[in-house]
Amino acid sequence: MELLPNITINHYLLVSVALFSLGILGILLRRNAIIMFMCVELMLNAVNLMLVAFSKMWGQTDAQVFVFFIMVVAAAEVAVGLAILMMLYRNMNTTSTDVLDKLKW
Amino acid sequence: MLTLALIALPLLMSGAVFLLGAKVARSTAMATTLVMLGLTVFGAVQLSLGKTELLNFNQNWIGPLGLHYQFTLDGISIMLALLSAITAPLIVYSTISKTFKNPHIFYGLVLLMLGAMNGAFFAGDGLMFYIFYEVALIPIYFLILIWGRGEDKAKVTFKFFIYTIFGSLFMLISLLYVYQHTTPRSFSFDALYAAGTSLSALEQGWVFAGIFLAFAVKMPIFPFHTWQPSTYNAAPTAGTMLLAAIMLKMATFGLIRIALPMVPAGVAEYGDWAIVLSVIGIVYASMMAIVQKNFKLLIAYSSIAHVGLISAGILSGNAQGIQGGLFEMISHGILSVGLFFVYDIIESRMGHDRINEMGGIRAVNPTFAFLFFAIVMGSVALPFTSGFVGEFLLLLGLYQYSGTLALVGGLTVILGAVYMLRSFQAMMLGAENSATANFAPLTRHETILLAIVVILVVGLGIYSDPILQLSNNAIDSLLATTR
Amino acid sequence: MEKLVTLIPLFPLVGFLYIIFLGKGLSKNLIGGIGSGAIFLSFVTSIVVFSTQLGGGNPTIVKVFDWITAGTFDIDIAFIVDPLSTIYLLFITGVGFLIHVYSIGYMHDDEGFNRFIAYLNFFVFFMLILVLGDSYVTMFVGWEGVGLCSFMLIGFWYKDMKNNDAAKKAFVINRIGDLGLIIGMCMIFMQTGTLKYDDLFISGSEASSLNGWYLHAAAIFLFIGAMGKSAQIPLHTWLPDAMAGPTPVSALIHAATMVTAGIYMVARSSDIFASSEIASNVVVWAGLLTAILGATVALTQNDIKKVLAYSTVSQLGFMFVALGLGAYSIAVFHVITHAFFKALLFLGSGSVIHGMGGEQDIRRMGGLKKYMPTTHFTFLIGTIAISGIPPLAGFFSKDQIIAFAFEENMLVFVILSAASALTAFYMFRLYFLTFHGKFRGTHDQEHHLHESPKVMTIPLIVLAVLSIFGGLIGFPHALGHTIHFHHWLDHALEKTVVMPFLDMSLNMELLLMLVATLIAACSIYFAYNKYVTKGELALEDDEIESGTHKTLAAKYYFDEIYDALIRKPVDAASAFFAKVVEPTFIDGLVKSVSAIPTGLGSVAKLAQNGKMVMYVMAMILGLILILITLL
Repeated sequence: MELLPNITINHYLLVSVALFSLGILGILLRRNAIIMFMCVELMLNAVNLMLVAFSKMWGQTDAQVFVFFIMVVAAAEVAVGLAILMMLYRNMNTTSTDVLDKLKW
Repeated sequence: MLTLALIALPLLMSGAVFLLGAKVARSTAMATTLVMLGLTVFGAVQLSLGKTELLNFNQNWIGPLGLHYQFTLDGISIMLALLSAITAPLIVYSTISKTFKNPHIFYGLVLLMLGAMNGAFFAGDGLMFYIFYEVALIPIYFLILIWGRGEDKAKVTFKFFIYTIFGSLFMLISLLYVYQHTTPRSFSFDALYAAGTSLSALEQGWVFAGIFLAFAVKMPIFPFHTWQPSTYNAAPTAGTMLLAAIMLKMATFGLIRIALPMVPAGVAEYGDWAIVLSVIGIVYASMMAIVQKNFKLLIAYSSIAHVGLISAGILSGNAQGIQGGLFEMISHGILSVGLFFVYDIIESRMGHDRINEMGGIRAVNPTFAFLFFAIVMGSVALPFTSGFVGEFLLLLGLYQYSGTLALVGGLTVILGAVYMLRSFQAMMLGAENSATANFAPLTRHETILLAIVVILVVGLGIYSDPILQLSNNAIDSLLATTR
Repeated sequence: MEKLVTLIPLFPLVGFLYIIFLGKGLSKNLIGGIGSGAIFLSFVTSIVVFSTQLGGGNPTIVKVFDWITAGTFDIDIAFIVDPLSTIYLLFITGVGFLIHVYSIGYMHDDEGFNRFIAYLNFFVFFMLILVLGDSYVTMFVGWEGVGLCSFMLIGFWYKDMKNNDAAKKAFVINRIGDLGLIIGMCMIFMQTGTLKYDDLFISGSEASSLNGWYLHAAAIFLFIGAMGKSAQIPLHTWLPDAMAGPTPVSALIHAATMVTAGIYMVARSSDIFASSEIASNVVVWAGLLTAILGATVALTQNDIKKVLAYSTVSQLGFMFVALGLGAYSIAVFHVITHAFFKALLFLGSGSVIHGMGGEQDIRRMGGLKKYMPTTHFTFLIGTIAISGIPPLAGFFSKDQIIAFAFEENMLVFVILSAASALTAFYMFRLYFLTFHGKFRGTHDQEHHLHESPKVMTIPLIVLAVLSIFGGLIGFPHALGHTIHFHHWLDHALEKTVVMPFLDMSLNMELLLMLVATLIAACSIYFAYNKYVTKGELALEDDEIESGTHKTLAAKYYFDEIYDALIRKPVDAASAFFAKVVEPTFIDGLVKSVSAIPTGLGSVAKLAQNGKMVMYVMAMILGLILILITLL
């Protein structure tokens, strides 16, 4: 924070909200599962950013521990998720969520 | 301790049978049921001698909620214990020449069910009763699903399962409602009785409605019976026997154990509809039985008729009705085993049970006809068979409640003769034909089983007083508390 | 001495069990010996027990063991020894023994011989329980038990479905009566708290606490039971069909013993009936209707056993008239004389059927007099006895019933006399058509004709002797004799009420006897004139033209009416229940309940459409909604 003293917590929040909104928009607008997946990651990282920012602000490390957890879980998720997507693509030849709507009632 | 043993033994042995595997499954199950018979007879002797220390068991389960592991063997539950103890070995014995796939699972489930039903019979705690009442449903569900017959057995079993579970929920609601009024909170029957009787008559009427609904589905009482014929039909014979001989008695027993002492005013003032339904059911089911073309369905409907009379007699709330109800439960249990075994014998030889496509079996196999006829006579309640003692006391009890209802319910005397004789004559009498000419003679174990049933039916009919004496005092004190 | 009574039902029971379980391989004569020996032992014991009651009646209860206890309801297996039960004992075992002996000859060639003798023993066992039981419930044991045996014996030749149908009909109609009896018992128990005769009538007098409509209803329900068992209109239709059984069965069960159980029961309940005028009137009119209708139907029947069956129905009607008029002991007297001559007639007809090789149609008989002299002679005695010609048995008992009716009610008297005249006519019609004239059967039958063996004719002779002299036990007052029998029996029956006593002048009574005898003689003359002098024959079925005759031949269409009014509607209703009500309404209701969650689910599942975008959109909208409400 010393390097950039003019940057307050509000800026971090703004960036985080922007990232989060981008993620949501991406999920809503795109149909490609991989892109949607990336958007989810984007949202997660937006939250991470916010957590780190608040952590710095209050001078507590709990939130940073959370962030590590989230990153680990996200990594695991990516591993599983991408594997599922790979299989889907192999079998269905597509990753478009418009086609992949079999998972219902 | 004895009561605990009678519940725990079959439960533990069912686990043992699962583990020991197919080879010794049947003999282990047979041995277990025989030990249970011995223990129950021992308990009956203890009870008649007035020594009750072995017969009561009470341990805290969840103290703050007032839940107990409480089991008692008293004059009322001993009748049910005897019923289950007498019929269980017969049921296991009836399967002796059958081959099942996975017999260890089959017999394990049978033992599991016996344990659960004993739990319900001995329960001294409302929630214990409810739990065992529901647990007994699980093994029979699988027994029918796996070893049953017919294309739609999955559908039939599902209906049966959901229907009875759904009915039981009303009992749970009723029990919880009464539980709310206990101080300190306790599910033990004594506390529930005290709380229930202090409710207003209208409240008791609603509580009774909930309880009766649950039992009406299980017994079953008209018009909640439609699951029963198809389930009996789909179940393997041993499963049908378990259902008809013991399982439905949990409901009739529940009327005596829960409904009458807990909400006596509700039964007396708002219970008319239940008795009327029971009596309608007697006539309705008898008439349904008259037109059945399959013997197993005919027995199923006749069972509804008999149970209707039991229910009506018990709910009339006098000594004759209750005593008759208890005795008829034993009698009906034994007769059900006999009748369904007769069905099994016929079905295994003919390949079907269509009444009108037989005839002349008596000419080929007089021994079988004789034993079958004796069972039929028990079922139409001829004096000197166990059926008469129960049915006469029930009618006597019902009459004291309402003469008209007794007259209508008494039609079972006539209609029962019509459908039982009609089917007996169509199947057994007449000249033998090509279909029945090769009706194989009874095997040794079939003869033994039927003979035991006949001896029990006649023996209990002639020498019924010792059995009745077991429950006389308990019923007197039960009636004393409800007045 | 009274303790011996326990043995009486025990002998036939042991006989039954022995023959059924151990009788295989024994010779027929031995089986027959065991069967009739058991009854004979009972008979001897009965005489001993009877002798204890001769002194004027000294009711004793012999308890065997407790049977049913429930609250205040308490029934033992116990036997009552009193004049009414012992007099029944005597003729049940006596006539029963003779019929057992006869059966040895009659059933000798039947493959089911052992079974037959065993069933007869079993029947006698239950009949003895019926009359010995010390309470209504113990009586009911015998009551249903004889019904069971009747069922088994009517359907004895079970390969023929017609016999089975007759057996089932008998059982079911009896059960209708039984239901009435059960309800009657319930009523008595409800008001008096007991069903034991001892408490009701003998030591106690609990029966007097029955009152109001309850009394009448209880009596009428008891009578419904009696109607079923004793074949009174409208529950009589089973008895003629019951002739499907072997002839000794018809003689023992459906003429001499079982069907008189209703009379026994009403006589036993005399205290109740005597205090209910309404019920007594019902009994009189039901009996009267039965007496006259039975007699008219008997005029037109051509089956030798059917004639006798309707005659039995009619005679039972006579007995009920006597009961309803309050002449209980006279009714029992008629039961006894009737047992003698009706058993004789049935056994005689059995002998005829035996000789004819199974033929039962009197249109195919005739002239049997010369082929079967003993049968002919004994049958003639039976016919005279039932027609009421002095000094044979039937005269005394029937005459006293008619005299009683004369005292009580003129209309009853007239109808009874008419029925009595008809009785003489149809019995002699039967006799003449069977034994006189020319033989009308086939040549084979004529060749086969023979007198029955001694084992069959000796019981006939014994019964004939009894039919001649049996009436003397109830020798009428008018002929210079005090009526010991009635005094003795009335004394046992009358406890709380005073039995009406025949109280008419000597001349009046003699005049009535003369008139009755003349009427019977005229009837016999008409029959003789019609069937012997003119040689008329019974019409073939297709020759019947007059409407009345058709109605009578069709037995007043009772069966058809019941079929249309009861059986068919019940069957139709049952079928309707099974085909429409059950699947559509009841199960339909269940299904519609289960349709509720299914329906709700099918709406809710639309939200679950698999489009991921929709899910996310919903999630976000939800989040926004939550945020808005929270802020």
